[in-house]
Amino acid sequence: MADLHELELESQVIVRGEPQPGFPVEPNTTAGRALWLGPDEWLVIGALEEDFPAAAAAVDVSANCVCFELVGDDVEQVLAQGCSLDLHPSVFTPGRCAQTLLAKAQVILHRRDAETFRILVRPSYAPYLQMWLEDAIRE
Amino acid sequence: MKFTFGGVEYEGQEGETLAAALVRNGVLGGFRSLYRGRPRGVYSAGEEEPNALVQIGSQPLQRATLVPVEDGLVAEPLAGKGRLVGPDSTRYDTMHAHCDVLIVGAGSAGRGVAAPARGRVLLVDGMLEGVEITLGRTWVVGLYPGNYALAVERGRRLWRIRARHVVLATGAIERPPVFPDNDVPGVMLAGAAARYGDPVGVTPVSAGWSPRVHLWSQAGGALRWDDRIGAPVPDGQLSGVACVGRLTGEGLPDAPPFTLPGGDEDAMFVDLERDATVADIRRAIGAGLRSVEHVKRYTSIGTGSEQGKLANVNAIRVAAELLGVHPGELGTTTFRPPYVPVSFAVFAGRNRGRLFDPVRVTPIHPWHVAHGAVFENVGLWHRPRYYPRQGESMDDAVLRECASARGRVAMMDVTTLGKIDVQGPDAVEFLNRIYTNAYDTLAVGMCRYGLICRADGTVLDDGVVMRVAEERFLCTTTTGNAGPVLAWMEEWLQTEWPDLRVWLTSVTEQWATVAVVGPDSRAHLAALTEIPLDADSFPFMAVRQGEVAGIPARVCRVSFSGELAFEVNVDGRRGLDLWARIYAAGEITPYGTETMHVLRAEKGYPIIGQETDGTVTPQDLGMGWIVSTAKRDFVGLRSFSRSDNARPDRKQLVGLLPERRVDEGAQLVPGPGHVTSSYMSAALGGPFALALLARGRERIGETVQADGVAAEVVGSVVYDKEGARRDGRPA
Repeated sequence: MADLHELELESQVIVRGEPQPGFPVEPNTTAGRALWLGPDEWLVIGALEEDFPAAAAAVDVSANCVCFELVGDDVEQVLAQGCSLDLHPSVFTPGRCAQTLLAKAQVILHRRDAETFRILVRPSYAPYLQMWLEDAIRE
Repeated sequence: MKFTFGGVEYEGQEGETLAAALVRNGVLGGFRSLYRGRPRGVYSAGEEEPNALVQIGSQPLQRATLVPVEDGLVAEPLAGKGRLVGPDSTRYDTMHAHCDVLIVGAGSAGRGVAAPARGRVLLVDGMLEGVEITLGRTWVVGLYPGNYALAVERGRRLWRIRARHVVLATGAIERPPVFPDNDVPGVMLAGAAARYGDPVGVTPVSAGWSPRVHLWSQAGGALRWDDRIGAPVPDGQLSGVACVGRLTGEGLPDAPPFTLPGGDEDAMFVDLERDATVADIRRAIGAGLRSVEHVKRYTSIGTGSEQGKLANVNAIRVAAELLGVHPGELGTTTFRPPYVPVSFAVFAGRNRGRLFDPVRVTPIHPWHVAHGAVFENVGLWHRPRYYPRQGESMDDAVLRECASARGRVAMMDVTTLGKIDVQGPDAVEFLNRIYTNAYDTLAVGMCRYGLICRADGTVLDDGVVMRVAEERFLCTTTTGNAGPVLAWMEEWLQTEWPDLRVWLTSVTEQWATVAVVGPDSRAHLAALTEIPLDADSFPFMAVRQGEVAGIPARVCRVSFSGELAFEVNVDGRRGLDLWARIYAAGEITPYGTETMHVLRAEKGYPIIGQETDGTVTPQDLGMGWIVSTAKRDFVGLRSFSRSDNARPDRKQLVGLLPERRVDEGAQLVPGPGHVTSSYMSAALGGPFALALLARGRERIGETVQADGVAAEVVGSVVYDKEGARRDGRPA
């Protein structure tokens, strides 16, 4: 049965504009600490606004998301109950990320490895999403 | 194993259906038809069963031909109508699936496709189960464009399937012949009778086979009449969908020629579930109906829970015979999902009870709960409405909270307001186009109230725009409109003004915000911060950075109550801490949305969605002052010169002083007009209201009736019209 726990994340920043050195440019992929969210939008974990002086915009969002980690050999089965994306390991490979809906909450999914997903969600939705995930894990 | 049917106990066998067990026990009847009460019995061995409907526990409308018999099973015969019996302890859920090939039907044709198929293959069957079947006892109930399929597994799990290719191997349904008394118990489709072992007393009947074209047709596939089998078959192509096996008509026997026998047409049943006969079709045609769609609606053939799986092809053949035309000329009725009945609970899935909808809460929520707040829903948020003391009514609590905010100091959690970070060299130009007022004149470190209009000039939202740096702003929105306003801004930016170098980021939950309100708010906060708070150092609509209660904060002097007020913004994770420290710093009254509503209404401040309804302009609200006359353009500008927006008899926002409290929504006479907000005022010592009233501003001083209550029309600001309280306790 999959295990769900909350992770204490370091600071997070949204970076806009042109890709900064080391940023992923392939849609829905990650490179190091940077997650591709859109053609001109990245979420960088463990960084500050002032780390990106050349960016068109950098916005501290450290408190804007909380992070759950879901671990287990059945993670896809848990998430497939509320997510319409194809999370098959041959498609949503480790390192991939996506902005999507999980149940009724907007989330960022990030596959760390075959059995580990990080789920970033607005703190206000966290109690709901946690209840939903705990229920889905039981299924 | 033992089961009971209609109160009688029978012996069941492992692996058989309830229908098979009944027939094996010699129960060939046991059911009654819905309208005519005719005795009926098991007629088929599948989902097309029109007679053998049962209620099992909480589940109505189960087909005995599909229900596996189990030890202790209790089934009651149903005549068409079922009833929900709660509570239902079944766990319902949803699964999303993706595959290269979805094969519907695990008969020999479907299995033949599945065996050599490569990649991710889903083989699904409504009746069968087994190792080579991916989803057994799972009905594909809907097939939609783009190879999107809905399937229901064992009546409790909804599958949402995206397939690269769909192979339909749905086979064919045996067709009953039409003759007098073709519905009596013992008459049974020949294939079903064979499946049940041709028991004594059964009369097997058959008039050929009709391919299960339902899913093909749902997905948009064309049909043609096949004379050899006497039924419609798939015709033409459908991208990504293939038909195999008996569905195509191949391998089906030639149909016997169709003729209507003589005899009582009122006992020649076409739709057994609907009790509809050849006589009914003859009446429909006699009434002048020619289309099978019209005949269906006149006779109700095909509208039962079985959806005409047995009846529809026969209805076409009978109608063609009576009209003297070829059945192919009549076409078919429309095949719509779901292929088999699906309970609402399946569609609801786990979106029930506490998981029905997200409940959004702020970081300060645990404090509100611990201090007895009564909550209200604002969008998906749970916000404190008021904080009753022991034995206190809502009215009493709100009057007390209002009196504290006006007389001393009070605090409110306003974290839910939407917040959008706007950055870029063209940020000023962008805001000038989005809001009705101007932002080039807003100095860094100051904020300004703004209205956003739709292109038709009606008010979309309001909020405060803060200039935090030369090229960086923070815009607040109303709680319910945080998402829509961001979407609105992005739409204009991306589709109309892609040349503007502006970037938008939602930061609603980055910040927790506490409003400290009242003439003593300055003194209360002074104990917690080094930021100079006097009116000269920290004027109205200014923004200051510093620490409050030891927490880095951005403090704004904005007011939604008319009182001296400070809004303290901190990192969301410190919100609860900030709130607790402000609360502990001296006597202060927490207040909720109800008090906030009263305080703002006394000052005539509209609430978007309460005073506005999508037809209301800034001018209607008496807020023409916020609509720039100097700016070249902004969204909504052109509409203010439309004659309709300049009509003198438009509804305008006014205040009302009624004799007693009136209901919100009450119509005003003489009107037209209606009450938008109605409260008791601690400051006025009585009731007041806001209203939209035709020619309202001209009618100040008049008396109108609101639900039979006389009310004086006054200006929309009923308290502190001079704004004397903004900077604190008047000298």
